[in-house]
Amino acid sequence: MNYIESFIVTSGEITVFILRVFKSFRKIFKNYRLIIYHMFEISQESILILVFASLFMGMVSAYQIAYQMKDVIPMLYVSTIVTQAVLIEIGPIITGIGFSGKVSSQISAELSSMKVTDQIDALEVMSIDPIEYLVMPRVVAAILIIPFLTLITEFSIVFGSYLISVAALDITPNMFIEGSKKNFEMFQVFGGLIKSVMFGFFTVVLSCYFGITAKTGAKAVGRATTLSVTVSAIAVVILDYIFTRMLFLW
Amino acid sequence: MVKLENVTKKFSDAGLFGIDAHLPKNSFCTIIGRSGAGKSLLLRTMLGLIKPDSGSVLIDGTDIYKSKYKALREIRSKFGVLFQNNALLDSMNVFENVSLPVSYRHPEMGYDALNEIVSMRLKQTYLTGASEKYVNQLSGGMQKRVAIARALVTDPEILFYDEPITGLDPLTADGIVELIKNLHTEIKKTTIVITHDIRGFIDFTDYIMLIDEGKTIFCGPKEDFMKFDSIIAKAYLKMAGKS
Repeated sequence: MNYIESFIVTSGEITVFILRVFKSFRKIFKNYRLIIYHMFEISQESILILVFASLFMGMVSAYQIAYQMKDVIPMLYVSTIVTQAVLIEIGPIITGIGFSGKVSSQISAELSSMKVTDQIDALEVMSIDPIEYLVMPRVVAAILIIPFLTLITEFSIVFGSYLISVAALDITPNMFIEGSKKNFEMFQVFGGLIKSVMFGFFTVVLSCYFGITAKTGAKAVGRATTLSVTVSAIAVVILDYIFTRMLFLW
Repeated sequence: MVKLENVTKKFSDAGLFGIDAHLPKNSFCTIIGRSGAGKSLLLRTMLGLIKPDSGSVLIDGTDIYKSKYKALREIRSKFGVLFQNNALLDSMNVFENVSLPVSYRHPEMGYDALNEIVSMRLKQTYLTGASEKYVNQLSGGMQKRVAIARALVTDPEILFYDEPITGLDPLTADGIVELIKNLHTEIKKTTIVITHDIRGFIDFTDYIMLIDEGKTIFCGPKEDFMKFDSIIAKAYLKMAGKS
């Protein structure tokens, strides 16, 4: 099978997989304990790394904007630009990329290990649908938890930028807060959160797909994990473009 | 009753080629063959995990590959399976592993009722007191017994054991063989053991199926197998000390 055929076949398989995931949403209440468990697990895995990366991202953003715009705009607008960019773009995408690096690799490695050790076949034989038992709870958990993670990420970026603005850019706390409020619209927050839900859904669905369809052997676990991280990261960027156009630029 | 009709599944380097078999209800059947003969592939085909290119797999008269997914799940609810590498869920303890097939199908079942069922199966497999342990805290023999307890917990009609003694030391292997025999005597359900080592099972088995290079060499009662004129069959009988 050449690359084009392989791409078409895999795309078709992923579409069918997504439809099966949607179908399994009927069993959400039956699996609520698993959903809660995965919400905690996903948060634990990603929250520290997101906060840490976001703080520095905020610091860099403030520095860059101040450096690029120092003779163009008043410094008051540093926080305006940071806040707008964070809510619409940087917050959701940092969360999405962080998700694809940390959560996606974890899920894919776990499910592919289960696959190569026959645990998924064992579930099938026990009449337990792996989509219903392994995939759906993770997807729902991701959809429910990612808006909160995005808000934490956004807050961390803005806070990082605030620290640098106040400490190194001669911007007073009041100036920063006033600047942040300029051009602020609630829709920007919701738009960013809608994007992050999409990132969470596709990242987890793709990592589950690559995990659950892994072939046999230790190499297959590595391949599934690498594929899921790579494809999820690319998917996040593509989805970001599509949803930014749909939500903010149309 | 398990019936295979002309089951064929081709891979680039191996496969099954026109497998026919009839394994009667409530009998103890042993499927033997060398490593790579196609035994595990045959098992996966019987379980509905690998669809054959042609032929039928009939469980109590129903072709599992012509059944819809829901019907297949119903058929599978008759199965209890011990996988070669046990396939226990390593994120769960013994109790959770053994109870999973019941607790998932009957979420309304209370803890006491579930505990009663699981405790009975743990007692049958000599695992009383191990219910809180995690899979990685257990020896190979204990893991095998946990997997057997899980296979038994739904009171299945057909029990499949894939290479139940492979990788175990002789003493532990003898213990597992005795456990499988005792369980069959006790519950009298169809038991299908897939193994390359027939020694422990030859005296107990009712039916033998011998496969080699993906083809059925023999399938029938043990008595006929003892008289079967084939080099491979004789090699197995010699290994079991019956020639």
